[in-house]
Amino acid sequence: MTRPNRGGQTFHPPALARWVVRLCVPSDVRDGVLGDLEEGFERIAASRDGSQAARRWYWKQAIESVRFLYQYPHRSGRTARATEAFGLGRPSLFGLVLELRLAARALARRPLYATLVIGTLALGLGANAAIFSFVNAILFRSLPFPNPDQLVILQERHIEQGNVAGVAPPTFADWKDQSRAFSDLAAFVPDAFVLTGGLTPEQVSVATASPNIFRLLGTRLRSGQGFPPDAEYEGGERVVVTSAGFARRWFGEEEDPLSRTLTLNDEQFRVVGILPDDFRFLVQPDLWVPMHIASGSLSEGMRGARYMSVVGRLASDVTVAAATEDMSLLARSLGEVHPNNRGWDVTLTGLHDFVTTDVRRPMLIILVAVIFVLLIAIGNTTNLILTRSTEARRDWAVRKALGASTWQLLRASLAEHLLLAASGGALAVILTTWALPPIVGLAPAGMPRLEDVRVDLTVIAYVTIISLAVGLVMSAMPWISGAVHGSLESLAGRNAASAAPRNRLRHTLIAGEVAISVVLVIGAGLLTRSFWELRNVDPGFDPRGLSVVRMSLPNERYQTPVQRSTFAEELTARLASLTGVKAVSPTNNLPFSGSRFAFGFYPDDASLADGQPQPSAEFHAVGPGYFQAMGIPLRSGRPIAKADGEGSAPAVVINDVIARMYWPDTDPVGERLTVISQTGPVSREIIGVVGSVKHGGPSSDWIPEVYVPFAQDAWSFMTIVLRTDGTDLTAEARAIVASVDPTLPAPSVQPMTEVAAQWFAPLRFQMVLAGAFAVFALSLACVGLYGVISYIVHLRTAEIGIRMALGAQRGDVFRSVVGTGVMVTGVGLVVGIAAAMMITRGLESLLFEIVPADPLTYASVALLVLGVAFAASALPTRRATRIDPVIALREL
Amino acid sequence: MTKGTYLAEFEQVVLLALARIDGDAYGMTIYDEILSTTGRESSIPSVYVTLARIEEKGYVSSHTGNPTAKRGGRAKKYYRLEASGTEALRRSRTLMDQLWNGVDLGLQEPHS
Repeated sequence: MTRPNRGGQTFHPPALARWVVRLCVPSDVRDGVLGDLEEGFERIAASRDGSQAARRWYWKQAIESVRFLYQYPHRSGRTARATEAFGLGRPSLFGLVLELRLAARALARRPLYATLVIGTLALGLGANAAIFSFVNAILFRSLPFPNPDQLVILQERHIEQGNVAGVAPPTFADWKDQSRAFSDLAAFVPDAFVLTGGLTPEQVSVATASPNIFRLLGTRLRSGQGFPPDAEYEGGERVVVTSAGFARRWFGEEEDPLSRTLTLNDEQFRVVGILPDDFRFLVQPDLWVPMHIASGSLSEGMRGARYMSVVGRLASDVTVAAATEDMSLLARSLGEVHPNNRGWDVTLTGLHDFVTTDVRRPMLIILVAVIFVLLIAIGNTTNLILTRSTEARRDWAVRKALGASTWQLLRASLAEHLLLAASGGALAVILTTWALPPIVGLAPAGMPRLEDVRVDLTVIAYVTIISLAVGLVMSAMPWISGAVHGSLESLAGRNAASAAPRNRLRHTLIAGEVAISVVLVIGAGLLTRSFWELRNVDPGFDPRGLSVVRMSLPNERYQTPVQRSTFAEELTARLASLTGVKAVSPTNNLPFSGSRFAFGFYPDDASLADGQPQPSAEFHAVGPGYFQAMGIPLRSGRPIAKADGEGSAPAVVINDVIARMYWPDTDPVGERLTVISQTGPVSREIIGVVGSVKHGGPSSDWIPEVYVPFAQDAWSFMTIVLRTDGTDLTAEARAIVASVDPTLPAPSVQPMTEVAAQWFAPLRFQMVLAGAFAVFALSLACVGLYGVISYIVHLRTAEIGIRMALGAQRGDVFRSVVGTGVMVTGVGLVVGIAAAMMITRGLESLLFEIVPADPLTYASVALLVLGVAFAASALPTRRATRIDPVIALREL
Repeated sequence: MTKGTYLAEFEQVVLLALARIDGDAYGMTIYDEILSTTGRESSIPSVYVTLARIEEKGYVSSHTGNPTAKRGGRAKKYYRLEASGTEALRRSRTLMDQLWNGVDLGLQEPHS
């Protein structure tokens, strides 16, 4: 074949364009079209316009050939030829599009069926997409730092008692000097400062941190250089790095806040950096300030003040295991030199794990639950499909008789079901995108990375894959039920007998749905009971009628302990004079608030053998009215009194746990105990023993606790606890704070019950979700059961009519049909209970004091499911028994 | 053949082009005829799609020729105007004439 030639070059039509044409053109005109395009190409190339024009023309034709996909007529003869093209030879886009168009037409003829299937699938898939969005954002997406696997949180762990605490400043300094496993270490402490310069003074969340922290994390500041390296030394200029949100809120959008100053705690801080919007870390305060490690903090006594959080970046090629070993050795060597480090080890947790560990198990369990719900949805749509396939059987039988091959029929089924599944999936994505923000709003605020929860490409990919799988499963159903092998004989009678094998399949599906629902309902029931048990736990104090006023005193005016305790005394006295106040006291460490002060202690007369680990207790500095305000019972001795002031003998009140530990048979009052606090170890006389408090939340253990007089150890962050007779004294309390020191920002005033509620929030969220799924699942199963029973009744209408005409009682018919329904449900119930027993063992970690095989829950669920199933079967059957036998017989 | 259906505009164009062509009418020649007579640049695919539709209606018939070396070995598909196609054209023309009758849009050439 000769090609146009210009100066020795041959010109070819662009291969890609030709491929596009080939893809779109149906086989019966393929040669004609391609040949014509060749002709046209050669003609233009050989003419004055040249080869460029020819290529352009060819591409134009190629794009136009998309018309074949949607405009080419497809009836009778063309259909056969077209589907041939989509056969086992070359795949053709034309054939594929044709199948989908035909499927869409067929579905459009049955709008109710299509709507039901798509709707059910959309709900099931949507629920899955929503939960997966959470799981993806919280568990899967890695934190936005370079090499995030190298980031590790370090904590001190008491070897014998097993409790984990923060890191003490002198210990941190030693780690920085001596550890080789880390390329960098940084400490950070959450705090609150008073920001003035706005309308009123306000309290802002601040983290004081080692100046190298952002370099360690690898965060690139949105603007500014960040902390200068010498920022941790005293006497330097005060600098601050702000979060993106704070900068926007305080300085506005247009201003560049760099080099502006903020007045914090009456001092000027210069802004030297702004964090990016997507900064995510364990703490996300408004402001970051470099940590000054005063020489006083490096004393021996301070080795017991384990309050700092520490993050480290592993040196390259160092694994977490190797680093753990290295740090453990370091901890042991420190313990040999410093008594306050004795008995403490180091524990390392990857940053990502640290953030997600609490939620990982529950999230995965919920993911499994929502997949169960999807299975039920699929069960129902399968039943719908089976119902429709009975009608389609005739259609197929005719087509087969006319020569359609099995492959062609299967292809059509595949196209239809994939189209249904894809539509369900697309609708699910839309529903989820719309519904996700409200669901995120319901989630407990403590859940990490909630702001990252959204429908992104990963979620869409997940939905796509599941939709395709669902589509494939659905298209397989008619085969399984034997519809494909339908023949002309089946055209004759649409009766119960021929439906028998499909009925068995239907029954199995329903039993399966019931089983799955039972598992979900049992799970929800267990979570609910667990939640109630948790709520009923005695925390050791009485939160009703308790209000808490939280504040922190700025360092500049409250530097000395005397200043702080004077403030506390004045405030307490004025608050006590309010009507309705029964008891008031300050404390530095409120239970149930997430605050922890793990300080070391030891009885003076107990000689600590070498190497014996030093015990640690929850440390509280409280005022005279504390135990009365909190409702903590006094076991022996006396509570802290006004007389236990700064000049008096150091006193301490211990709890049950310590008393039992060291003085199991005697009264410890009068004995001496040394407590290590911010001032170092102080030997104190035990003046009383009180009941224990579950400091770390309702599910925490009883641990040693010590209470020292606030006047003898005053802290700058304090919470005032107020026992009232029920009246809301928020405004009055705030006014009194302002009257003692008007420059303080208005403190937060909360009922204790609100503070305690945060402990229940995660479990409540799980309970609500599980409950919602259980209800959804059970409803779907009931709808499915109702559908199946209705269908059976429909099939057996004639039979019922005859039976009743021959004298059968309503009751007999009723019993027989409902009996089927109940039996199917019963099977599902038994299977479900067995499965639940096995599966809920995995829930044990989530459950509080409820054994997974809790008989009360199981019994209630069984009754519920049977009752509901009875109703779902009874309704259609009642209609059946009302049938006029004459009409029924006409169906024959 | 369905009585009473009217031709879409491009269907008319293609049928008329067929009517004008003396001799072999296939995709390319029909496209050329439309282009040279009216200056309207359609496309090969749209011509083929339209031919398929009117073939469905029976207005034209087709047959495949022998493969020639020239078009890369691809055979041409020839189309021929059928009696029902002529009838359909006549119907359309009448329809247009009836509607144009008396309409004065200030056109240069009177549509007779």
